[in-house]
Amino acid sequence: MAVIDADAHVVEWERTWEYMDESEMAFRPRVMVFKDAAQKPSGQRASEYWMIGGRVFAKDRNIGFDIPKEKREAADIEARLAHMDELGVDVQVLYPSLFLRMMTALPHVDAALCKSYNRWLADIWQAGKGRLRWVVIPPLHYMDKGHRRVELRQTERRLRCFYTRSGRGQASHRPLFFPLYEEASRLGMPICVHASQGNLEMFDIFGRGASLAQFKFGPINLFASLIGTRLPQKFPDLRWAFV
Amino acid sequence: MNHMEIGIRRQGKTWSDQELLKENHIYVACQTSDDLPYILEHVGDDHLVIGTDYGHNDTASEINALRKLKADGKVAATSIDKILGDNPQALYGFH
Repeated sequence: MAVIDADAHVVEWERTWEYMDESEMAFRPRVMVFKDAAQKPSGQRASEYWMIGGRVFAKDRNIGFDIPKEKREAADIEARLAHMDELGVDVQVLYPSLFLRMMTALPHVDAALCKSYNRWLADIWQAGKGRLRWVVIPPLHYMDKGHRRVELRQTERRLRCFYTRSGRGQASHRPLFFPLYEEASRLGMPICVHASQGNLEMFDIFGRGASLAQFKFGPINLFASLIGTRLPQKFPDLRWAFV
Repeated sequence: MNHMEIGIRRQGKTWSDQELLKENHIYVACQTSDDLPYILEHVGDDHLVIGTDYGHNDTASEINALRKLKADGKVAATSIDKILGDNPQALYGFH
């Protein structure tokens, strides 16, 4: 029996954003550090930060430092596969880390980030000998069919599932997302929700120290919404995952 | 779950723990720190999966812990095999 790790991660690094088109390079996340470490706010453990769409995110938080960098960032695929052999895992399904959340409210920046992330993962999949499967991140601000099809034509043969995030006015049970669910049904791909998907608005409301509200309430609310609105009955061929 | 059950019953509809995940085509990841025998009793073993959080956490712990539950006989071997293999295969459509 093949052992499938249904919730593994890749950790984004500078390479992740090098797949943007030339015209989108201005939106590429940049790494920032404090010039003077003494200026760092007390209790702030991160040593590097991402600047994305005008917001700053800690870069090296929620990281399993027991795993060498080149494995968690999938920079050395052979080393990662060898580690999976040690763990007795045949297949990993890869979810993002930083990109679990919507990182910008700017639709064009989010679309560029999605494109680059998805292309990076397609390369990882290609090198992974069928053992590194992944979830595609659709640009949720653009639900018109034309835009979505362009991305899918490039990736649909390589991926197995959609990953959905939440943001302002974007509760995932709303009709806005029905075209995505129709497409996922057509392709036989599940819609996946991660237990730690963050939400920018919750960050703004609660600030630091409210991780339950920032990360966990959204998926719990979506689960209840699916049941309460009977959305799965509207899409009888669609599978949902809460991992 | 209790909150959802109350809401569904108020609508005059039936509620079944055992059928909830199956009827809604939902798969949920469990953790070995969960009370797995309790969960399995209530929702069955056909819609549970497990992940290691590789890259974020101690990678070996979850799958090894699940294997230990199987070896100890605390959870049926058939349930463990479903959680580790059959269920994620069905969820993600691996063939």
